[in-house]
Amino acid sequence: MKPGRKSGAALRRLTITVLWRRRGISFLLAGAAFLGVFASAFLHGLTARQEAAMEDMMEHMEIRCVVGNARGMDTEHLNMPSPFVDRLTGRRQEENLENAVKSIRAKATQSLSEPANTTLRRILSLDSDSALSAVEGAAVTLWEGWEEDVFATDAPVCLIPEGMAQGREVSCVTVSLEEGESKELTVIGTVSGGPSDGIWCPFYMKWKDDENITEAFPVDSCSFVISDNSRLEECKKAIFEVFLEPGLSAESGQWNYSVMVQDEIYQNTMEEYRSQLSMLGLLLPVLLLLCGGISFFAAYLTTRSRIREYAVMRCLGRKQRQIFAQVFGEQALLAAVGGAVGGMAGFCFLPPSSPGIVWKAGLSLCLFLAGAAVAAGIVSRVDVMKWMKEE
Amino acid sequence: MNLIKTLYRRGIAVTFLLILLLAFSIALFAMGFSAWNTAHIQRGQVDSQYTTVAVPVGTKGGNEWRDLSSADLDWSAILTQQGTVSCPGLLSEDCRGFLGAHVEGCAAVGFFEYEPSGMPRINFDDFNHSMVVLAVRCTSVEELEIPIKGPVYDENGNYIDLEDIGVEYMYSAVCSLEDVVCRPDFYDIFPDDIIYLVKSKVYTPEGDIPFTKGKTYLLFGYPGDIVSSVEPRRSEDGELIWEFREASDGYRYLYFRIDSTFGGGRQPYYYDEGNMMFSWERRQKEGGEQYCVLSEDSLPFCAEYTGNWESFLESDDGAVWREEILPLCRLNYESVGVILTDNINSMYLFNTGAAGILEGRSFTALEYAAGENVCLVSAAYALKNGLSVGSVIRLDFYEADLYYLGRMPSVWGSAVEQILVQDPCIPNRRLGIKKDYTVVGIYTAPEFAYGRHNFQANTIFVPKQSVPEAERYEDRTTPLLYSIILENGSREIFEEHLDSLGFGGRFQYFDQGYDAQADVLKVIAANAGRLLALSSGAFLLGGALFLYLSFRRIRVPARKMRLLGVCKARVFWEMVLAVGVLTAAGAVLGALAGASLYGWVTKQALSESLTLPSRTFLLCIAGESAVIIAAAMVIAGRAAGQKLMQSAGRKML
Repeated sequence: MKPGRKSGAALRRLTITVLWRRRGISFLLAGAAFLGVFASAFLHGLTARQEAAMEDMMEHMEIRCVVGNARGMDTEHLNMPSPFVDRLTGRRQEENLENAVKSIRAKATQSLSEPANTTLRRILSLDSDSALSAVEGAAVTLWEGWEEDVFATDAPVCLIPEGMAQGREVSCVTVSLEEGESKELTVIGTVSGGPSDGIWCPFYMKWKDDENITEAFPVDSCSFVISDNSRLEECKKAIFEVFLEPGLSAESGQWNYSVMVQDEIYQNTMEEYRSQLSMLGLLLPVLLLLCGGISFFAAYLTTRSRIREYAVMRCLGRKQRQIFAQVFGEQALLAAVGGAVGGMAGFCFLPPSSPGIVWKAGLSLCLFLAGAAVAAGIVSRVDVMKWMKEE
Repeated sequence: MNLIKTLYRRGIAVTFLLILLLAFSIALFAMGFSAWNTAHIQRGQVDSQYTTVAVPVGTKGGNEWRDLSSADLDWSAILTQQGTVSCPGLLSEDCRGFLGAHVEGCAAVGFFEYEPSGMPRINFDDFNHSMVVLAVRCTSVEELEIPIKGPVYDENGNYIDLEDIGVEYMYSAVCSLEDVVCRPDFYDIFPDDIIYLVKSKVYTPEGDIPFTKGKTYLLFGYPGDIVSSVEPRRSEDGELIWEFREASDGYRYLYFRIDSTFGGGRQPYYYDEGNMMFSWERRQKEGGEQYCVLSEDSLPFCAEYTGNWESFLESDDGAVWREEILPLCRLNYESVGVILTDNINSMYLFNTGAAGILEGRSFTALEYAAGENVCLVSAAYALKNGLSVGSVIRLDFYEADLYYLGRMPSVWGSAVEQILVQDPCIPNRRLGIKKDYTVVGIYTAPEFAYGRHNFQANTIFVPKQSVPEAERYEDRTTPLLYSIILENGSREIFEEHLDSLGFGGRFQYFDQGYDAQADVLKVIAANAGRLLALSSGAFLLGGALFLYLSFRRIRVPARKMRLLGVCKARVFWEMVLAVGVLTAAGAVLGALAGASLYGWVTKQALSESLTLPSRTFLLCIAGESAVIIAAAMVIAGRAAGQKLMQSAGRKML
């Protein structure tokens, strides 16, 4: 075996022996290296998790928009022409808002001459008519084979009050407007507990089968939800190109309708979350710096505190370079062990793609090694005579 | 002092670096702790913006609209009985109070100012806004015999049927309008040629019909059944017009109510012998036929006059009309309903977004707690009275009950739609509480709509605590005035608990979209915990290194002191003092570094309410210092008691 290789092996053994004999402080130093690397990954993971949760929230939170007159009033008695709803549902060629809104609710009521003293309630969905809600005591039963979605179509179907069926199986009902139009509707379910003078049909039900598009009729109430909260401002802009922003001072014209976007809670929540995220963004580098600082001081001070041993080595004839190599080797070994464990532990907290994390962890390790290197440089150049005099 | 000198003499730079090591550790933990604390405050702030409510599912159908005020719907009592007030997830109950109030100079909004959806079925103005005083001429009178029906029971006491048990007299007086003495502006829709039909069973004390053909009378009461007499129409320019239907004889008629009674309210205002305005007694004629006369303390509903009504009002006979009836009408034309609430977002309409703040803002937590004199008014009311955010209105409170009127559908008649109406403001129910309220917000909500949770446009909201003894005016049986508030995100456990008690499926839950963002709050809480754990780890590591290195530096001098004969206790205290000085310096530096860094971070990122929590911060620093000193004392105890015959320092640490 070559002498150089032999001395190298001896140095490694010595290093390991020294570290083992001082296992307490070795563990702490490895912990300092671990801290830096782990903190880099860990803190990076915190931000990523929060961002992901926020995106999820933005996707699922519903911002309700209620249509009113120009002043934001009369939300249940709009008398709004149905083409406004067509724009929301995307049935019109021009100025469609289907990309800006979803979950549209709309209700229109028309008096019927047949059955007498009843009203035809056109609805886009069951929750379009508050009288059908359970809190008002209503319960809707859809017969087998029928889904709520049918109300968004123009199918000639209807729901009838339970009392109208009177225990019989009613398969169809003929409805007639006071103006004369008449239509036979297939009964698809019943309403119990709700108003017993209503017949509910799809919003776009056509009176004549050959109609290309349902004739306009006045709408009582309309509301919807913003389709994509991440494009909230864009969606609002699109909405306000068709509707007005409500205000008591607004001029109330016959065809002016406003939309009250109820995004206050959402905006407040998002503001809180954004500030939290921004705080994390600012806090994390500071915390990383502090972790790095601890690593640096730990490595430096620990090495520096063993100056007596290195002075003795110098007296025994070891060269500066050898002492530097030994000291730095010890610290590098600890850094490698601590950094590897820290990296593995931190990996658990990392999102799948985390660019930038490597340099943060590397920087942290570098700070540790820099502390060790500075201290090693000092102790390897120790003036033994001067030091002994001081001691 | 020797050891401190030693630390100083043996390399001040190293000592300074030791202090820095501790300062960094302390600063890191303090920042982590503060961030954790801030995250929790922030989480609370977000959480407080959402209100989760459990709304009882309505009773289904039937003509039993009175059930709405029955004990079946007293969920408060049910929950208390079941011991569920402390059940998981239940945060509180919002028991709102209801009062009437006179608002000087502000006219109430009338139902006929707004177009209803479909045909109107009930007059929402009943009963406080619909009272009128008219000068009429009686054109004909007719007496009617009405059979009185009573229940028949079998021998077991079971109800069998109704049968005639007697005869009751009533009359019908047909009157044409001479002049309008007092009427709300929104009833200007009544044409002058309308014929009023007074149907009543209230006679004069002598048993005579109080009307005589051809004579003129002042008439006080309510136009009844307006909704079946009118039809809404839009003019070409979109203006709302109410058209009165003509009867088959070509005339237009309107009933005039005096002694109608309305169930659902409370004694003594809605019982068989009186309503909220008049009270009467039953008398019997010799033949057993029954009729009614006004009680002595009741207001009159008619008074004969000759000449013009203005002269009558100035006369002594007209005193009660001049001094009581007309002021009562005018008072009620300016009356509103006031809901006293502790959390407006717990109300169904506000919670679900059907109602919202149009201008200004809602109440703050501080305003609820302090009972500030602030209020929310409806857009319709604000518009009619020229109110805006910042306006001040004076509320003069009256005790008034809120109750449901049910609309009976005519066709298959099994279900009803309800509206909420309130008592008029009556002088003997005046509370004597008069306060100025500042309008802080204007809300929009369906102005006049059917539904148990709908309130009328003449409703003003105020913080509950702004009215003394507000609990007296609570009504837990009216759905509009009672909410069960749950902790956000706990509706499943609440429902499970109710289910276990046999009340499953009786509630619907609304949370303003809390569910969609609950995960973010969980992540924030988890992140805060992780940050705290990391900073704690870093502090422990840094602190351990600091102690190791500090004691390593002073162990040799300490041993020398012991060898020189210095007692253990003194060496111990010297060591503690030396490390204590370093700790103090480290703590000060750490606090300064942490405070300035965290302060900078929060200032950049957060709102003012979440800037550096100084008290928390200082407590944290003090705690950290205490931990280090305590650890130092343990180590110093061992070091001071080292066996002097053993080789130096090997076993010291």
